Amino acid sequence: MKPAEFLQNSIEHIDDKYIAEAKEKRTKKSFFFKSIGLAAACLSVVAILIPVSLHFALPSDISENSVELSLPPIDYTPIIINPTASPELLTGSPLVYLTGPSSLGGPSEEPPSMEFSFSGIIVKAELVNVLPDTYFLLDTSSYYQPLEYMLLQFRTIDVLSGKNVPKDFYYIMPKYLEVDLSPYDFFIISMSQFGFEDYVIKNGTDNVIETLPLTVFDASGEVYGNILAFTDGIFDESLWQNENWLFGYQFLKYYLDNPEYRSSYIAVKRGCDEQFTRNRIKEEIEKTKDYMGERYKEPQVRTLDFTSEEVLDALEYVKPFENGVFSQTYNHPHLVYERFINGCYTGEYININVEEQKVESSSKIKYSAADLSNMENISLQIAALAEQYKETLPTPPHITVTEDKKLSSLFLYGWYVKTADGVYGVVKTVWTYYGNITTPDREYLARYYDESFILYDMSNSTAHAVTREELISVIGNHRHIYSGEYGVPEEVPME
Amino acid sequence: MTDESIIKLYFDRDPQAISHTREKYSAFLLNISNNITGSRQDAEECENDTYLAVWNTIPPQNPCVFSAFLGKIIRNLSFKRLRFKTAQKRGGGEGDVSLDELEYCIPDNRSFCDTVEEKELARHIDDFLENLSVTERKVFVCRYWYCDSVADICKQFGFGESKVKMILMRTREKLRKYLERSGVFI
Repeated sequence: MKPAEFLQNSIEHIDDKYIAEAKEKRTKKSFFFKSIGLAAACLSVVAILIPVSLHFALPSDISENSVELSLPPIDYTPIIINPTASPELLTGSPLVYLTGPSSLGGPSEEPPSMEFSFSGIIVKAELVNVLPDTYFLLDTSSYYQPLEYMLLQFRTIDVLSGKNVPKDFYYIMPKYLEVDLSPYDFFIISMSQFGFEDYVIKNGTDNVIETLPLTVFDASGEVYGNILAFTDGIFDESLWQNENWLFGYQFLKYYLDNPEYRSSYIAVKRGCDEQFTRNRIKEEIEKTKDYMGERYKEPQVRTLDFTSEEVLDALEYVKPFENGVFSQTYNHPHLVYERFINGCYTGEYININVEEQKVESSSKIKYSAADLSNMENISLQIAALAEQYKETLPTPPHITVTEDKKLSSLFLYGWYVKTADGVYGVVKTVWTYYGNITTPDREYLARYYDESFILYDMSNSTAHAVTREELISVIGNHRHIYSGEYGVPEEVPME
Repeated sequence: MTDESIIKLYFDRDPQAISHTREKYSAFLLNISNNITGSRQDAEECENDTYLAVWNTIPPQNPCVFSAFLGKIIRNLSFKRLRFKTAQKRGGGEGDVSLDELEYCIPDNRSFCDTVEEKELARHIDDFLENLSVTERKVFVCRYWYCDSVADICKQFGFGESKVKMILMRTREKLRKYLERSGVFI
């Protein structure tokens, strides 16, 4: 641990009286926050029904006993996402939730925050089109939550902050917000770059991977207050009164009712015109410049307009292929492409430094054309298992299920691995249970975790249920294999 | 509901304890975590984890200052999450910035003695804080405990940015000298 991190950790343990003392000055804020009320974070439950045809024989030793479904004692509210899927077009779904939230939580339905980010790319823009389809992001995490998104196409009228802002762009937004932007004349939006042109995304309506022609932006850290709507040249707060955003509007309304309070959080005041907003934005940017000094950099939109040969070669390499795509992620200054085969993570990646126009790193593993031509679609296997589990919920191999334990989540996840010996697919089933533990000294809430694996060997088209140890002996240690002890109570989270 | 009543619910193992904690402290906790992680979603997940941690910790613990107790847990969880994400180059919030600033308190090429533990170092920092003026102390704690942004601190105290930056810079300088004198570096 770095010395500064050690110091930062140590500050955590300072005397409570100093922590409380510093908060005394924060009374107004705390009172305000407390008066607002609350919105519960919701975790997702996903059930996907996919008809399939199988090439592999499924192992039959999946358990037969069903268990009662229940949720942990926190006020999680399950939602059901049921994307339509047809196997002919399906590019793959690496994860299927049968019940419950993931152990790391899921997408929140709490309405987004309210602040306006003055450090983002800020444009005056008009809405051109709302794409009719639903979109899902590709993700490399085994805890991927398939949140639905919508794409809004805007045309830039004027740039208030930022370089190289394109004339037309997409703005990506969670679909549950159900926002209707069509009644407004124009918008002032603070946003950040989400993906370059050629951004790869999954169209959930058509079940195909799409490559988007325009650069994609999203909220600049916050969502709600970053979109300012104008009608007849006057700021129109009715956009914020969307019933899905009412929580955020409570904050914004407070600012609008009390324009002197935390004015740096908001770029408008009630009934103001466009010029007022522009002046506010300019003023706050100047403050930031003053504060940052030489460290200040105006936000800049990047494009794929590279000249370096190695980068151009890399971009050629990452084009979509017959049974998969490379996803695109931008974390300034890195543009990372990761290979997905049949929608499943593979571990192959290329990391481009856009500042230096070079391939900064790439995985040792690279899938060849021969590998790709002989690749069983484990997404279909996952879908088939999901069907089977819906008929009879499986029993975890290492957890003794008793009445005091509640099933929190059950999901399937798959990925591909290439080793020196061959190419494999792995499908794992994950169970998470919660239960109270009582000891002579105390009682606490514990989590039980369990996994089982099916290993697909592409060289001989076989599938076997394997133990963790057997799996590791074939593919080595992998980040998707749990390293802890299965079926034992674990306090969560560990402080 | 008073903090004492909420804590009693934890001792009674009444799940309402979590609901009341959430009702009273959700915004407070989200604010701390959001300051550190710079992500609303991360903050929400840390907030949920905090409630579980509190449920598991009380009893046997019986915190004197409930808000500080909650704040410590979410601060810890948020930094863990931030460091995990920073390792993946995903970036973060004020937690990253405050860490950069704290680098200044460490003399060049120096590290803490192996024998010094976090809580022991915290006692040194307590002593140091005790000798600061109330304003300096509050500003320091807001910046490095709550990870408030400079702009937020300005608003809370009614100071200009240059004044806050000056207070922080001088306090870091004092801390650096104090820690050197305390012999906690090698």
